Amino acid sequence: MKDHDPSDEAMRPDRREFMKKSGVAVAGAGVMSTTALLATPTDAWAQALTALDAGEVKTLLRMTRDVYPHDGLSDGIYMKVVEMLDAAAAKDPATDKLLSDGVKELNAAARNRFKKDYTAVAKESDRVAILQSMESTAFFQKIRGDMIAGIYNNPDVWKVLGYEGPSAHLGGYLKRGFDDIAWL
Amino acid sequence: MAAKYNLTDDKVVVVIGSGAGGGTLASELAIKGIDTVLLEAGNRWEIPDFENDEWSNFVKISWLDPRSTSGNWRVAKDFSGLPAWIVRAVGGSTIHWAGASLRIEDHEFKAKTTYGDIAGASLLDWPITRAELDPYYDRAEKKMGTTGTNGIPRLPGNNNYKVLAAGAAKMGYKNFHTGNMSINSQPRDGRGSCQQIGFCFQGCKSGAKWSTLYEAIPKGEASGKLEVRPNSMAVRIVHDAKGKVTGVEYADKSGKIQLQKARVVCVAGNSIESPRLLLNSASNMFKDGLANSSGQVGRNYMRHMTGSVYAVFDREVHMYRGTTMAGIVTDESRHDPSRGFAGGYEMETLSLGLPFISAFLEPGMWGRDFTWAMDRYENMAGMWLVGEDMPQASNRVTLNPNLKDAYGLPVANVHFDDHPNDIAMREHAYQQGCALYESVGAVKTYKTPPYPSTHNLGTNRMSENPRDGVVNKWGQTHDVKNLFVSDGSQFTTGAAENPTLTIVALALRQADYIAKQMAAKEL
Ligand SMILES: Cc1cc2nc3c(=O)[nH]c(=O)nc-3n(C[C@H](O)[C@H](O)[C@H](O)COP(=O)(O)OP(=O)(O)OC[C@H]3O[C@@H](n4cnc5c(N)ncnc54)[C@H](O)[C@@H]3O)c2cc1C
Ligand code: SF4
Repeated sequence: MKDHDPSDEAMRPDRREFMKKSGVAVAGAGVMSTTALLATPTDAWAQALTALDAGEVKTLLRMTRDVYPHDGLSDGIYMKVVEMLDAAAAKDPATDKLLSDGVKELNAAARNRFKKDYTAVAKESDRVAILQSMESTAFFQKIRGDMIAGIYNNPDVWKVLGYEGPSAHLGGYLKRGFDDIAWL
Repeated sequence: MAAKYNLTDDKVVVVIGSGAGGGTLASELAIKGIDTVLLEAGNRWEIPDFENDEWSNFVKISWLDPRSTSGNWRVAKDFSGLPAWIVRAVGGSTIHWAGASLRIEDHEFKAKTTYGDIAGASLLDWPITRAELDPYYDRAEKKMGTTGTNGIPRLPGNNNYKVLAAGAAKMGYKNFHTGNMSINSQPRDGRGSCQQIGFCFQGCKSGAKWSTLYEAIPKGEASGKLEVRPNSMAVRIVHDAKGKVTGVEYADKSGKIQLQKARVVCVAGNSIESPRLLLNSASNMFKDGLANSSGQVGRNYMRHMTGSVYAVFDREVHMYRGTTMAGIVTDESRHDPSRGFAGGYEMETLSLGLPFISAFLEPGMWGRDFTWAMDRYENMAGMWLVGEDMPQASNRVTLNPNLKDAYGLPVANVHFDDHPNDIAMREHAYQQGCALYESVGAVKTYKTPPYPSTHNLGTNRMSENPRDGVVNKWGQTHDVKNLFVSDGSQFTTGAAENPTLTIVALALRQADYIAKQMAAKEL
């Protein structure tokens, strides 16, 4: 047993690292900022990202919608997920490579089956079949895992899916319908 | 006023861990006039620090130090580095507990006698009976303000409860209500009543829900006999040549190792850290770890048979509004082997917010099947299934020689295999849970697998015979007279009920015993 003096914070394991290792799919929990949302993916947006190139960005945008497809959510929600992935790639070369190689693999799988790139495959069910064939890859699991936080920890999504969230500052749900069910 | 003791003061009782067991014990000892130092690995957060945000509050208060897993349990696959969901902070897991407070039944204290020999199970009868514990259950319920006891009214039912109750009635169940909850249904003990905030798992912002953080601990401090030391992680218990423990080494806020001398040491770090600490305290005299001549330290790890059922209806429920767990059906908690398993289980309402349900509903699931459910989040109701699991000697907390924590100490590996009895009970519980929701019109039901363990039990179990366990009926270790275990790791068997009320009752009882033994100079 040795003495240690680094500060308590420095000694704690990196939290994001922990989330990954623990298997809790929340890498990025709490990082959702409120950047302005764009209504549709534009080339300008895609080019503004730093680590991923425009083709990769478009592929990932299509893919994220196919992994967790919510017709009621705007593209802006999925663009934020891609922004998050881009930021992670910019910070970490291994992530950058994982994503770039993954996109290449995805396109290869698409060409193999349908003779075209992933984004050009028109039917959702065909694209899902491609994703299913890649389900066990680290690339797919990275996208899927990050999306759990990227989509479902986003207050803009809560509104659409009907989760009212924090309530203490509003006095709880005591006078706001905690027992208002009427159809039983 | 809070006390302050010197590191060299060898008259103090040192309690390790400030949760349900340790927080209660330390407070009781201090109120009895005994000098007490409470070491807590985590920070001291207060109510204003709690956040109505599932992930950010989780990251703030949880035990995130590395751990590893093995065995065939689903948790090892879904959450390999997070076998358990435990708080690291003053107050321990009573910060995020839901408040369900049930007494263990008489027949469950006699598990071996009641269930007989079950292959692969290391069943034992507890060395205490329900009748012996009843006076302490009475005191615990009064202290914690448990609804449905002491004339305290039950909580009003929220939407999630109303769905459960309607289904229970359709199923012909007879025993269902909003539970025995240690949550104020009316102002009591200087704390207000439940505002139906719905973030019980994130720390109760109204203070209506009982926690050692703002009930037991401040009362202990007010006695002038309790010093709480947060950010103080016990790393080793030391002893003298006669084999009596003499103090506790702990890493302070800056990571520096300090030695607090002690007259008595009580371990209450929850059922993973408590055995780990005893094992990490091995010495020349105790080569297999402290209090481990039986080889039982770390064995018989139990986590309750669990699972959840979520149901989607075609109309709105808003399950997340209001108390997280105030609703229970107890009809299945009986022992009735005709169902194909020993022991019983409870059905309790449970809701998770969208951030948690997306991660836990069916880990790994994606595509339209998954988003279909999320799109109907507001139409969901949910219940938790919690029942007795079989103790098995091979289900075990051990030291992982290949993985060290920030202090250079081997981390805990948690090994768990489901017993066939656990699997049969889970199947039955899933079936009944789904049928209950279908009886009131569920469009689709989900059999959600276990979360990281919330009820961690049994790794320093109580036994009549020193060969069979680690502590006696007072929680005193069989091997070392002035060393006690004061948390859920004492449980001889798991029983069907949520464990905290029993942990608190045992701590109250242990405080009486320690005080008497100290007065008689036995300690
Ligand atoms: C989400 C959730 C909901 C729950 N709901 C219920 C419920 O409704 N009813 C119920 O009965 N139970 C419930 N539980 C379980 C309940 O919280 C625990 O069973 C109970 O708190 C365990 O008490 P304990 O004293 O064993 O440990 P804890 O309360 O976990 O306290 C252990 C403390 O020891 C500290 N510690 C550990 N190691 C060290 C060390 N080496 N040095 C210093 N300090 C250390 C920890 O930081 C922690 O603060 C719930 C649990 C969870 C996760
Ligand atoms: S629902 Fe009640 S008990 Fe739960 S956090 Fe809110 S006020 Fe506290």
